Amino acid sequence: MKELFDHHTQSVEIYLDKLKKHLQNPIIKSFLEIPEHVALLKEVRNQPTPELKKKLDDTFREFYFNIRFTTYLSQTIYFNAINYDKKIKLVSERYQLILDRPLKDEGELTFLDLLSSSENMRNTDIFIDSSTIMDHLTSYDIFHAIQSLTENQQQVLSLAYIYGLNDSEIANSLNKSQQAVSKSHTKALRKIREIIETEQRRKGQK
Amino acid sequence: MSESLFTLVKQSRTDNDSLAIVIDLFAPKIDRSLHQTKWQHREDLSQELKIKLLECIRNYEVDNIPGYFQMLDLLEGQDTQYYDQL
Repeated sequence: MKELFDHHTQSVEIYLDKLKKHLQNPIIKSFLEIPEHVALLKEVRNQPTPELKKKLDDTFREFYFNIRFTTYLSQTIYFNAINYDKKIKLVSERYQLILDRPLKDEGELTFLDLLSSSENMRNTDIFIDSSTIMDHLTSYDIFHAIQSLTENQQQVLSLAYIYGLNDSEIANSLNKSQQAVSKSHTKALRKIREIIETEQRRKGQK
Repeated sequence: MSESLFTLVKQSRTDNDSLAIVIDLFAPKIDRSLHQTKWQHREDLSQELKIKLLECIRNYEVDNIPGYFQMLDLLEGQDTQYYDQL
């Protein structure tokens, strides 16, 4: 440290001597390691005008700011990155997609066992594998209504509402014209509606 | 870059361009901290960190930094034992 200041005036050296204990402060120390800063300090010692003092103050403030701000942001980045990793780890531990790993640390039950267990099966919807619309109905009224439709109309409804085909696709698969399919489709729906409505009126009168 | 970090951060409160420059300055540090993360999450993390930096820079109290004489006063008030230990 000392040799750095040798070429400066006596007054600065005396001043630095007074400052000795503060020179051990890392910030002050590194600030005065830069020759321009010492020169500025020297100027201030020689003529302590408010302007020069302010200049020294500002130079120091900027110098200190650079260190403090950079450290602050670097640490923010560092710790946030670590926290982010922890969060991801936690989430992936909680919501696993591994089928054959034991659910708890001990025990042999796996997620796959849980899915295939009979308890679980009871909760899931029963998937009906049938190509006739009658097998898919849950409403008695609609069931009775469709029962009274022609076979052709039932077939059209099956293709439209189980397989999701549109009228021209149905026409293609039944080897009919699109107009004919469209007509029997609308007719079927209208008939169902009529039957349901009369049924409900009948119930209402009871 | 002509402006100092000090001025840039000061301007960041109102000026988005300065804010972008400051964040870019710290981009290497962000990239470095991505290494420990799985590659699937790196882009997300990078974005999260930038959002965090944005808050930090905007809220940083530039005027709270002590000047030279203030600093000496602060040190004077401090317990000198700290330096004796060094």
